[in-house]
Amino acid sequence: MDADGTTPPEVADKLGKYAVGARIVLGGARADTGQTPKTTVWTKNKARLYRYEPEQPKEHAVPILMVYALINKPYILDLMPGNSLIEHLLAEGFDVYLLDWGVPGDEDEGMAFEDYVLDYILPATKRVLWTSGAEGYTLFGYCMGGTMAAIYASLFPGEPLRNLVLLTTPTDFGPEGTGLLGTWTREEYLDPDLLADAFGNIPHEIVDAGMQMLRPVHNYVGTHASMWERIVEEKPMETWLAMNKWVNDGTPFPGAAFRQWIRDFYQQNKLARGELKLRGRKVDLANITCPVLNIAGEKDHICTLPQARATTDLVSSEDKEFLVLDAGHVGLMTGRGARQSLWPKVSGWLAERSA
Amino acid sequence: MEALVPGDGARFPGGSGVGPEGSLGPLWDQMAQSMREETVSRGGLPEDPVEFFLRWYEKSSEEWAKKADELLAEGETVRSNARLQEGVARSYRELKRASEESLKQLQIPSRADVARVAKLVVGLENKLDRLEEAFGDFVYGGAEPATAESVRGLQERMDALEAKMDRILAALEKDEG
Repeated sequence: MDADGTTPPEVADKLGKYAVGARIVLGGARADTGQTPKTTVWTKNKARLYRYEPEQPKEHAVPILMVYALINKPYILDLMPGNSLIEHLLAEGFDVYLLDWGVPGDEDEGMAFEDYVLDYILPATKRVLWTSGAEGYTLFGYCMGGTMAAIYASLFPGEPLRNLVLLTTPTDFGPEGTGLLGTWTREEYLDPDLLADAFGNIPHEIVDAGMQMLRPVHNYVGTHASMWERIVEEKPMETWLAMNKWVNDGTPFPGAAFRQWIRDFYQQNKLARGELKLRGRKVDLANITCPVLNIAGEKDHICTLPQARATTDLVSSEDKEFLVLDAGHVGLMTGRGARQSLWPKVSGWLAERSA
Repeated sequence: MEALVPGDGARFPGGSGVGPEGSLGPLWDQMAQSMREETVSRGGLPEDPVEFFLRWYEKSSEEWAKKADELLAEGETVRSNARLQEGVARSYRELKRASEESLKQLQIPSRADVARVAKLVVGLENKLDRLEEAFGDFVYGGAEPATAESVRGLQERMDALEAKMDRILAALEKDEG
């Protein structure tokens, strides 16, 4: 403090910045996410099927149905104005739908992958066709949502499924390709039944901690270093806040689906081996014949490159492409890199196949 | 102020520099040394703690990240984590069981009771969904309604079938006779 009792401007400025950082650290990141206007066209239990309202007239005949992971909120696909894949696709003239799983309650702990694929994705595809009046649709899956989309596509491979887009989607869970997550989920280290019996639905804090511990220095320290750097250098904070909010805003993993995810996928690799069955129906990725765009991140620790690449090898489609981008699991979806590489690639690829 | 400069006089835990293989000691030492050099080259510690943190992170995060990856993949770390996780899950399961039991004795509905009721509601919703879907299939799926004409057509075919059966029966009876 100066002799006249006032705080020097540079000190006040610094204290102001500390206060901003402290508020975020203590209170969590806040951001207005998922703002693209939408209407709900179908509901089932906690799930909602949204149709996004385009500002541009529809240019492509084939609508897109987006499906994402059971453990996340959907607004990663519509992060914020100017930084939203959905907004980009609408601007490119697509009719876009999103299946929001909602937040499972205790009564949903018995929900397994067969329920989500057969009782939710299947009827959602019908609603998309009924609502849009289209004859076919594109299925777009992100992360675990991509795995479910691939399962669905292998069970219902013919018309009206026109295209399959998979983003950071694991389908091969063989021990050589699953990285640290594969080690932690080995049978001798993780008993999914014990966790599901104890918790019912697996709390998102446990799932989030597992994901963040894959890169603890980066996720626990680096993310705050990035925050302080932005505050000190007075860089825009909106994207950081939105991403940070999303990363810490997961949903519980429904108990039965968690048991399957760990046992059938990670521990027994049933999907890639062609041994997975949903209500007696065999899931064989070789059944997929529609055009497939499969995109993975070079630095992705959650879905590693071998896990994603396998899909391209396993499907029977003649028109298929495996694209690797220089990004991690989350960074792939948003930011300048996504705007310059991922989004135009997806919209361009789909535009050629959506007549 | 000088004592805060990490270096020989202020070693971090385990910072003998000759720690057992896999320990963090050498890394602490390495980090302390590099921070000392950095601090000296810049003429002292930064006044701003945030700037200090950012410089520390920039200088040492890669090494720490590498070390953390190695540690987390080590068998002993994974085993310890698995034991901890198992212990937490078992304790939570017992706590949940005991809570449910206590609430039952007190005749107070528990979360499990509420979930059971919610499941019934979800089941009912599912039945309505199936009806709605069947209706949707009918409306949008190209199904044709049963018109009087189509029913008449079926009736005519049934009459024809009956007539054929009558003729077959008559032929059989004739043979038997």
